[in-house]
Amino acid sequence: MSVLHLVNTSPFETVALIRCLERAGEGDAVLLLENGVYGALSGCGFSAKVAAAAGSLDIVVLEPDLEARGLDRARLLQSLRLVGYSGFVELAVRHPLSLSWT
Amino acid sequence: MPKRFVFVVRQPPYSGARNAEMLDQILAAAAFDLAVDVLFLDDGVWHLQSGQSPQNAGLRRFAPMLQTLELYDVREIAVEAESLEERALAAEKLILPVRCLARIDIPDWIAGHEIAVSCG
Amino acid sequence: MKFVIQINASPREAQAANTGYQFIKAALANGHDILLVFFYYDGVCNAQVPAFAGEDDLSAHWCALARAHALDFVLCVSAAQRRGLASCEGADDRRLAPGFRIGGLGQWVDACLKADRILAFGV
Repeated sequence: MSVLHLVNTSPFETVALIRCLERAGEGDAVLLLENGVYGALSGCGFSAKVAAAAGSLDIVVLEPDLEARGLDRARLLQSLRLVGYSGFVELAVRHPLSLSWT
Repeated sequence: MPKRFVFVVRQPPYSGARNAEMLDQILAAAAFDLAVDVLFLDDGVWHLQSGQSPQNAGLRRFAPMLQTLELYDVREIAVEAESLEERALAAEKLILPVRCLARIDIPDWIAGHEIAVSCG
Repeated sequence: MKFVIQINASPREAQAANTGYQFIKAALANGHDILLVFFYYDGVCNAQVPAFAGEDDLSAHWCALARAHALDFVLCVSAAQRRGLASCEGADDRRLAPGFRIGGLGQWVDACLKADRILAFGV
């Protein structure tokens, strides 16, 4: 059963994103939401790890949380997808399990 | 087929009411005669450190409560080997007998459950 | 699909409760069922009634959502007692915002067994 991982803390503050990527399996999805959306930025210390993980994981960013924080699509890693709350629900339907990382 | 639960513990001990509340949730599932596994990851493994004496810090001992996992029918208590190594902990010196899983095997092991619950 | 949602954070400390609220609205709009919304840990504070209604008052939104969709909002009794939201004499819903009720972990487990998906907001 695949897992939808939820990461809701900033990678500038916690290591939750990296710890999550280390334990996510091929075909899992990682949703960056709330302060977790900062993990989608390119050109930061963690960006290379996130970009590499995007090869085997579906890494998704919750767009309303991105907009709330004034972050532009152009500043994000190219390989990531954006979704709204309906897309979040679809992710939960597609992946039978879910885990939260703080 | 009965649903298999896995509870994932990542927060260290002495995190307020959270510790007792996560244990309540685990034991509630175990009380239903369900297959319940617990996985300790990252700072969650500090729960298993032996010789904890929190009394002088004005805190209650949680380790004996955690040891009740063995009395209830919790199926498997697992820890990630790398989480132990990073903290210089040895599996044989923990307060509970555990199954050690390598980090690389964690995704498949979690995938063998129908319900996953993060306990912080 | 049938969802069980667990809300673990106070609406005043973190965004997670609001995210859970938005998720539930979207799930309902997409034709899914919410079997139970279980409030645990500091999440029980979502049922507190503020002394004055602020503009970000999520509890009013929860009440409206529960009413509109006949949802079951259950607070874990022991978590609610720890935070002064339930008395120790047993179930007492009078301190709670309308739409919420006191229940137990048994209801959460029972709903999990009937559900297709279990999601938690706030760790």
